Amino acid sequence: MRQKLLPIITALAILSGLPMASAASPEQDLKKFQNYFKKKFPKVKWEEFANGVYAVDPIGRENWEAIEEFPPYEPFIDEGEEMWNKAFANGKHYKDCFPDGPAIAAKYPRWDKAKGMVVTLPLAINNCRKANGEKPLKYKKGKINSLLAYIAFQSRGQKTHVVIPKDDPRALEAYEKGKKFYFTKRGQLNFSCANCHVQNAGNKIRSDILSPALGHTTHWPTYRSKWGTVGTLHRRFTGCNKQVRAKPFKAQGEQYRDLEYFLTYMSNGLPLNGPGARK
Amino acid sequence: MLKGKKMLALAFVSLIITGCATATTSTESKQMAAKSALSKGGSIDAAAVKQAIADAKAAQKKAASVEGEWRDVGKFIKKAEKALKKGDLDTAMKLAKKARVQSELGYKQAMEQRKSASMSLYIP
Repeated sequence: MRQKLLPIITALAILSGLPMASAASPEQDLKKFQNYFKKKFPKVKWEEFANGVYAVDPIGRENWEAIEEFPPYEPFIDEGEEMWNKAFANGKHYKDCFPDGPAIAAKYPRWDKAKGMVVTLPLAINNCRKANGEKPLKYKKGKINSLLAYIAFQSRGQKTHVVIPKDDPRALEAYEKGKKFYFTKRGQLNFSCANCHVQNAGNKIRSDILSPALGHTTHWPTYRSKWGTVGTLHRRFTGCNKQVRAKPFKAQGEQYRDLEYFLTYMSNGLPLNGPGARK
Repeated sequence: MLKGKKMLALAFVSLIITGCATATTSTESKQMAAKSALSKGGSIDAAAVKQAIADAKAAQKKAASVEGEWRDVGKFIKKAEKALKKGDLDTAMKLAKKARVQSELGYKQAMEQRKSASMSLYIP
């Protein structure tokens, strides 16, 4: 009897173990994701992916290089520096919250074990402000971008280095949620982020060329000519969701923080070059 | 002369009455339209529109609960409510239905994507 049951039990054990075995680790995802773009754009050098669409669009690049001669984001960097150095009402500074600052962009997004959530740089800035009795800044438009521009500028050259700690399964869960979000079709147009920026990266959408997902997180905040100002990554996420006619999520809400966690991890190794300038 | 004065007074009084009546008609008609009037075709009443808006709101909530709400659903519902207030029942019903259908599709899409969305579909 025991001998008869053994093969059944073994088969069941194998079958139940299959889904676990087939789920790729973040490291495997990273390799697959980056290799995909390296193969898709064999002439593009690795560091060039940090320049987004201008790594694959030679005409757009000429315009961009001309714009970069007199960067439109410069006044925001200056304003951000003033904000960084100005004391809060209680006499403390941002430096008291971020002792390694202002060049701290590569530390974010990060998994906060105590809070059990992904903490992004804008969220950390507002946590600092609240802890010092200041009003939080808005997450999409306005002054937060100046501070982020200054921090990004000071952090230029640092490498994207997102860590998914193995000692807290909730971190992996947040990563998986962000990944799921990225590949989920949504909105009336039934598009996922990946439809445009993985599948069709380098192809034209009307008169624009779609940028590769690899490198999407290196240059925030970004001055977009369309916006006429500098905006955050979550503002861009909002815009993308609206473009496919999906209701966008709250900036710095769980969905976009997890998405940022996944997407930034996918660009691990690329240099940070914010603030950026884009169409 | 007296006849002329009487005529003038009568005309004045009638003007005031007409004016009041017009004012009453314009405000009341909106309320009436919202309460019980039928649509142009006569097939839709305000109660049906109210129900359609309530259905759309419930469907919107259901879609949002699975992160599947579409961009314009909220706008359609607001516009439907505005049209109902104005007494434009046909437009209100059309918008409410659109909002409900889009919400149902958004829900269906989100549930389907929960099962099928995967990185390997894009990067084998």
